[in-house]
Parts: sequence; structure tokens; C-alpha cells
Amino acid sequence: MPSSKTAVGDAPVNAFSMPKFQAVLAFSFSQPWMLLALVLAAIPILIHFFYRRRYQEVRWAAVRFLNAAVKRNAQRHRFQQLLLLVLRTLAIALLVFAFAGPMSNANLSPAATSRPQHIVFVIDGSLSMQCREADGTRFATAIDLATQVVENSNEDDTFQVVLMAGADPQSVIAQPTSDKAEVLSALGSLTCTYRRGEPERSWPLVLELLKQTSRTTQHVVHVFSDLQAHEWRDTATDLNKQALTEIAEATALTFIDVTEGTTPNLAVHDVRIESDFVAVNEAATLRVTLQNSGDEPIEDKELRLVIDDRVVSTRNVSVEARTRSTFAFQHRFAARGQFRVSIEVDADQMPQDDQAFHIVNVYDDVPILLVNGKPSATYMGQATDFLQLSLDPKFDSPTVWKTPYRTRVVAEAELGTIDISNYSAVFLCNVRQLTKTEVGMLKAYARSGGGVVICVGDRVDLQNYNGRVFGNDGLMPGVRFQQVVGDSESPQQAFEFDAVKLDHPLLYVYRGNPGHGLEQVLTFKYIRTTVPDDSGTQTALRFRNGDPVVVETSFGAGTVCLTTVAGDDSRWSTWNTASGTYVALMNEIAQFAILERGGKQETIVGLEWRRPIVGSSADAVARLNDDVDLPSRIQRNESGSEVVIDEIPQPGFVSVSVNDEEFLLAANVDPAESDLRSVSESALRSEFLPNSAFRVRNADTFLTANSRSGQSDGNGLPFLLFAIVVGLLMAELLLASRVGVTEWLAFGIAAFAILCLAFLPSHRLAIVLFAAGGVGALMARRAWLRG
Amino acid sequence: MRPKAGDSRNFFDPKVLSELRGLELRARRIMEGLVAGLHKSPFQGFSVEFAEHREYAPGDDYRHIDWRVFARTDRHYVRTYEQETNFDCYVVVDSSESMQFQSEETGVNKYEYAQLLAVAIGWLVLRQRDSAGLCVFDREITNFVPTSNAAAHVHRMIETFDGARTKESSAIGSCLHALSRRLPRRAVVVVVSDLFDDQEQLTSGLKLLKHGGHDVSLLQVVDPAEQDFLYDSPTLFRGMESLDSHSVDPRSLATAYREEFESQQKQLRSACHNLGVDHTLLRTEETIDAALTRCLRARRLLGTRR
Repeated sequence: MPSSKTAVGDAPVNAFSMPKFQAVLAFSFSQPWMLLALVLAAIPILIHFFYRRRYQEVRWAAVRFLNAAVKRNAQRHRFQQLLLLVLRTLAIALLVFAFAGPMSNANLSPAATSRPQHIVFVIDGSLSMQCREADGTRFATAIDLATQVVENSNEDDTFQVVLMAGADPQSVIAQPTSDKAEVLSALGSLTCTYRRGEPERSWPLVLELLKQTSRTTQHVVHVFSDLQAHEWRDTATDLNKQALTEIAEATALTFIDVTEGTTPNLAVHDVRIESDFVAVNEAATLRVTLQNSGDEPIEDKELRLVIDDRVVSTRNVSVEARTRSTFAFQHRFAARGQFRVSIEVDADQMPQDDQAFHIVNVYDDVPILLVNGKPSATYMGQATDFLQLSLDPKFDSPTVWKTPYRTRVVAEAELGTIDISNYSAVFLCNVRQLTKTEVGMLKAYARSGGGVVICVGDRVDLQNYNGRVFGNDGLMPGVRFQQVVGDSESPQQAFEFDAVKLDHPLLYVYRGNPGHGLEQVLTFKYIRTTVPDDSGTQTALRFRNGDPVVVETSFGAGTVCLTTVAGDDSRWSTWNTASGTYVALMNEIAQFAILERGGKQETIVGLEWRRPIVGSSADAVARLNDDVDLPSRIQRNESGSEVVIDEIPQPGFVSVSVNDEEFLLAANVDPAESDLRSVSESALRSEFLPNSAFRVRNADTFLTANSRSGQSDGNGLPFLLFAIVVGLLMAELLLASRVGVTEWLAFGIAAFAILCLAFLPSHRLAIVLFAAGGVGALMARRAWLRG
Repeated sequence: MRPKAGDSRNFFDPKVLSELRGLELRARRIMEGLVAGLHKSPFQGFSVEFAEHREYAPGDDYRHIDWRVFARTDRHYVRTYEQETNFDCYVVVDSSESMQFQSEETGVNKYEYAQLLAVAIGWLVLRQRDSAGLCVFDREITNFVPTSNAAAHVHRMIETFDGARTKESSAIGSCLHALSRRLPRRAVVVVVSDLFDDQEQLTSGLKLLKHGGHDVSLLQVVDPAEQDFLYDSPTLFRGMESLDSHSVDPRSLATAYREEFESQQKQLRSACHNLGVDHTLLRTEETIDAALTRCLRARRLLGTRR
């Protein structure tokens, strides 16, 4: 490491920057011996004065015109010759300078020493930065680069560090400090997160930090990132661009791309269980989606199904480049309960996304409470009889459908006296009216994940339901019973279900089955119900006239469903007699309501997780992978209490204990982080900062710049010189009127070499190409000798 | 080389002609072609003294038909003039060193081209039974062949050319002065030269000739390279009639050179127009028949204005 300590990084390019000529005047060279070649610059002069040009000789008759033309052009010719001489000499001299490795020494510049820099490191700490490259993880590369910048900085330079990860960027060093030890310590203590990258969240913080220092200070912002395309391009917003533009205008902004080219990555993108309702000993199908974000196919990787820490199935898989492929596992769960299912694929350079977690709830004897609103002594006369037959047939016959439900029927008067939290779902069947207490109890039950299903009938008091169940403080706010439509005693009109639109999950079971029977149901009487558009309440099934048949809404962690047709009364509808759809649809409604009882059992790492709970327990315990205690709390609000985990830092299984109840939660990384493709510099310029000055460096070029202590533009200056040389030679050819196809071809090669110089990690190839292009141009037609 | 019978090559092309040895042979080839292409007398007398009427013959200029006689007799008669059938035509050829210039792209040098033109014109004049003479000059008149209407006179013209090659520079002005003193009566004077000479002296000479009542035509013969200046590599130009030499990059000088050339052309055309002199620029790449046709047409056009 060179000993001189100066301001480092790229020279500012904006209003805060020092005058450029001052920086250019101060040079040192990495290979000063190359300067001996400056004597070559004398070649054009020697040629000009001493070389006897090889003219073709012509005896000429029209000398009078030649004399006049020469006389007319004499002054211009002399100037042109002088200009050519200068161009040629300058081109050779600059070429020699470029090969000598010039570096502008900021420490020699009065401006640099008088104006300390305020350097803000913005370090991408998102999951993709954990990707392992040849020299370590991307995050480690970023820390290394930042460390070198600090070590090579001036004593007066101040630093701040922002860790850019997720929605909550951290200001690691909140106040500008010139204490290098403190900065290095802070950098060393940084760890990469599992969060998704959200760059736009960091820019307001950076702007705030910049305001803490004097405007006379040179502001430099280094953003170390892998420039993941989905973060930087796909999520680009105007606000994001505006904030970034402000930073670019106020500072010398440099993006340092810490990637080392395209990295292949195979990730477990998604795990889904085909049928969410898994019963004991029934085959459950797990569908696993793998994503290959690389440019090459990935073949013969082992994919493992792990249940409760035990590998139960494996298979070898291959995934084409830039595609997603889905693979299926089948497994029979032998017991009821919650199972920790994980899918693993062979580890690659980014092992964090080679595993995904999923909770599978296996049901057996699911308790369901049926509240009977119409007592009757006759067979099938009660409001719950058909429903109980549908959900819990209690016939031990192979021809009878099997269900996992265990039903209990109670009278409506008993509702207030039963602990309904022991049941997975509560069906209110033709219940006349509900008291305020009962509604409150049902609300708490639903909020904590219970399923409530309201089945209407002829006893239902519309006013009571509109006031208590559907009121603003009710179970389905906004829903209104309007009136009873139709006459069940002497039906004049029959209403049919709209069996075409099967676009609600409740009706997915009927998809692809034209003879499902829903279209055969005739309804003579129903309660016309209105559902507000913006209430979040969904209409699952409608009549052809548009009136709802089945509606559902989420309430807290639970679900509330409503049927507007009395399924138990054949005078209202042929639903339970003319077709088998009543049995199937009621089972679907029960399953739909019950599945939500567990609440959302999946979350993304880095996000806040909350779940309503019954009661107001003062204590909640959350543990990640049975190993790490996670900070959790109980938050009380108007609608009840919730257990809150502010952030789950890593992927895995989280167990949350509140009161005597334990929830399981699967936390996975954001699958978007698995796509390691970077946004191109051109896209960055065109889509983010079209009108602002900023630089994009890769780790190598940034390292090269900073490995030469005190050189503010170690790579850019030779590049600039090469570009000037190319420009000079082109001007020379134009001036000498000797531009032909060969010259342009040769200069095309030279221009390509310049581009290589800018973008290739190795500059040697570019230099060789450049030399070939330049020499080719000159030698192709021996332009100089003839000029 | 002798041409074979039935040779279909274009003997008006200077490149083809250059393959033929001897001016006479070349001239004969040109004549044979021209006779086939001409339908009427290319040269006319310029005397205005009426002599007599004669019956119209094919080839006579219809402008000379006397329509009054036609009205009376219902027959076509043309008016003839006193000297029409016996006018003198002097072909004045520049033989200075600059006329020796020949670029790589052309088949003959300017002097050879001028010789061909002169013989062709002489032959045409003699064919009309008029008199043709020849004057060859460089700094002074070196050969002077008086006019004659003998058919074999063209051979004398050719013989004269055989011995007329100098390395002298030209002085066209003084030569035209000297010529005007030698011409006994009014004549048609056709000057064939590259005209790379002093403009004022040339004008002075032309004025004198016009003052003497002569009908003067200037056929300026240049090599295409002298007009286009299409050299593309550094070249040392050594003057043919002077010690001037220039080492130049022709590309950088081409525009200025062409402008100078055009400027001279403009001045020359202007002077000729004012004096009533025909001026035709001929490039040695041009076929002889095309060149002759062009200059004869120019003569007639100018003649109608006079």
C-alpha cells in the first residue's frame, strides 16, 4: 500500500468538485521508465525537417494554375503542416503518457488539501450480497473496498456509513466522523442481512446525512452494491429516481458493482401444497418451484424433501437457464398436527436460497360447532340436519364420503355458554338473532383465526343481522340484507346459480367439470344481500341476476362466510335435493373457513409479522429454529390484541407461544433476491439518472484507483489519454485528407479497444488492441511517411 | 501497325489512333469517318459580296435560298458570294513544349491531338475546294505553309508537322501579331493551342486578327489531368516551359487549382465573347469526330449571331 495519504475515490464531477485542471496538473506515474519513450515524440519533427519525401515526379504544363494555387494555399498549407506536426507530436507524447500509467495526485492539489471530503458509504446488505464469488462474498468485497477507501483517506476526511437492506436502512455512523478507527470498526462489524434490497428506502436517509455537513465540503457517495436488476430497475419509482437524482447533483456519486460477472444460481423459489387441506394418511402433493436465474442450464442436482428434520424423499432435477421448473413430491402424513416441511437443493454459490420452509397442517377429527336455529322433532327438520349430514355423515360405509370433521350441534340459546375456541369453525344455521355478547364472542373467535359460517333460513331476523352482524362493528361490515326475494309457498320464479364464473377459490373444485351440478340448482327464495365493493368482502357465488349466494371475508386471522340461500329447506332451493352440490360446497366452505384459522403461516425474512390473539396475554415467546429467541411483543389496539415480531432475521421455522397456544411459522427469503442478474450501466443511466453525472465502477477498477494511493482517477486518466490520442489521430487523418476505409477500420479497432479499456477487468488486451488499431491505421497506408 | 480491312475499331478515339503510325494514316482514318457523317459543308465563306445565283444542291445552307427567286420561278436558288468558293483557312498550331504533355490516362499528347485536328480541318477545307494553310508556332512562327486548294496540299501540312517539334515556350500573342501581318487577305483562322500563355497578349493577338477582318476560332486543347487535377499522392510538378517546380500534396491543392483553371476559362470565354471569337475547350480524351463536330457546331451557332 502506498504511503501517501490523500483523498481517494473518484474525483468529484459536480458543482462541489475542484477545478479539473488542478487535478490534471498533478501527476505521478506507475511506470515512470516508460516516459523515456517521450523521445519518440520527436519523430514527427525529424520527419518534418529531414525526411526526403518520396514524391512522384510529373512534368507539368499548366504551371500557371499550379503557381496561383500554391500561392493561394501557401499560408493555409503552412498552418496545416504546423498543425499536423503538433497533432502527431502530441499524439505520440500522450500515448507514452498513457502507457506510463498517469495518476493525478489529489494530495498535490491545493484544492484537495484545502477541501476535505465527506464520504458516505452506502453498502448494500441485502441477501444477494451474500453470494459467494471467487474472492469471498459480495458483501465482504464491499467492506474491503470501503476499508481501503478509509485507509487511504486524508486526515480531514469524514465518513458516514449506511447499510442498505430492506425497508429500514441503518445509519451505522450517524454523525460524520474523521476517526478512522471508528469507521473501520463499524465497517468490520457490519453483517449482511437476509432482507430483500430496497434501495429507494436509503436515499432519503443519505440526503439527510449529507445535510449534516457544510456545503463547502466535497461530498462523495460510494454505493457498493451488486446492482440487482429487480431492485434497481424493476422497482424503480419516480420518487426513488428523484431522491437519487438529488444525491447525484449534490455529490460525486459512484456505484461500485461488486459482482464478478454472471453468477449461476439455482434457488427454491416456491413451495406449495396442492390441496391445502391435508388429512391424515391421505396423499398430499407438494409442488416445488426451482428457479435458475443463470445463463447456463443446471443439471443433476439433488432435491430433498425434509419433514421434521428427516429426509423423506429425494430426486435429481435439472433446470434450464433463466427458467423456473416445478417438481412434485407426494407424502402421506401419518398423524395430525403441524409439520415442518423444508425443501433443499444442493448448495451453490448462494446457499441461503437453496432451502425453503413450509408448514403443513394435517387434520383429523376437526371439531366443528353447528348452532341450530330451528329446533324440530321431525327427521331432517332441524336447520343443522342437512349440514351435519354433509360434514359428518357418521355412516361407516365405503360408498359414503369421508370427511375429517367431527360435528357438535347446539341450540342457539347455548351459543353464549360454550367455549367456541375449541372448535375450528362455527356454523350459525338459521339462527334468528344474535346478541351483542354473542357477536363480540364470535368476533374475537374469528379474529384469532376461527371460521364463522352464517347460513340463513326463514327464521333469520334481517334487522338484527344488519344491525349487529353486518354493522360497522360487526363480523361483515358493510354487508346488508335487503329483503327476502321469491315465494317458497307458490314459486312463480326460479333463480339459477351463475355456474360459469368459477373464479373464487371456493369454487375451484368445480373447474373443469361441466356436469358439476351447480347449474341445475333452482332457487325459489333467498335473501337479497348487497356487498360493498370496497369492503374487502368477496362474492364467491352469484345468481345469474348478480345477487350473491355465497360471500366471504377475512376477519383478523379468521374467515367469515355467508350463504343467502337456506340449504336445509327444500322449499327455498333444490340445492340439497336436486344435485349433490350442497354436500360438496359445504365441505369446501368448511375447509375454506378452517384453513384460515391458523392465520398466515408464512412470511418473508425481514418483514414484520403479527397475528391477532384471543385475550390480552402479556407474554409471547418466539424462537427461530428452536435456537434463537426473537424479540416479540403483545400489542393492544381497538380491535383486540396482536402478537408482533418486528423482524425475523433469518429463514427457518419460528414457533410463537402465546398463553397455552403455539403457532408455527415458516420464514423464507424473498425469492426475488435469488435472481442475481445485475442492471446494466446503460439502464442505470437511462432509467435512473438520465441527466445526472455519476460513475459506475466494478471492484477491479475501483480497487485499481484506490490501490494507487493519492490517485483520484488512476484508471480514468489513461483511458482519457487513449481517447484523446484516438481523437488526435483521427483529426490528423482528416486534416491530411488521407482517410480511407483502412484507416476507419483500424480506428474502429482502436475505439473498440478503448471500450474494452473501460469495461474489461484486464486492460492489457485493450492496450494491445489499441496499439494494433493505431499502428494498423498508420502502417496500412504509410500515412505519415507520405504526408 | 496497319489497320486491317473491316476493322471496327473507333478511329476517332485518340487512344486507338495512337496505335496507328504516321499522321497521314491517322488523318485518313479520320477523314473517312467524317465524310460518312457530314451532310453539308462544314465551313462557309464569310464574304458578303453577292456574286450570282445557282441552283440549290443538297448540302447547301437553306438560309441562303433566295425566296424571292423561288416565288418568281418556283425553283430553289441559292445566293453565292464572291469569295465563297475560294476562302482561305489557316490552321495555327501551338508546338510549344507544354503541348507535349500527356497524362497516363490519355493516348496522345496535346500536340499530337492538335495535329490531328489541324489535318482534319485542312482536309475538310480542301474538300470544299477552298484553300487551307498551316502555321506552326512556339515563341515565334516556326513553319508557315501558305494556303492552297490543291488536294495534295494536305500532305504538305503533314510533312510540316513532322519537323515541327520544339522545346520552347509559347508566345501566342506575338505569334498572332506576326501571323496577321503575313495574311494577305481575310481568312478563317483556327488556332489550336492549350492557351497556357499570357492572357493579355493572347487577347491582343486576337484583337489584331479580328481587326484585320479574319474569322478566328480558338480550339483550346487540354489534357484531362490538367483540368481535373486528380492526383492523390505527393507529387513534384516540374514546369515544362519554366523552371518552376512544386512539391505538393495534390489533394490539399486540388480545389484551389481547379478554381484557378476555371477562373482562366471564364476570363478566356469572356474575352472571346467580346471579340466575337469562337472558343472551344477540347480534352485529349475526346474523340476527334466529336471534338470537330462540337467546334463546327459552335462556329455555326456563333455565325448566326454575327
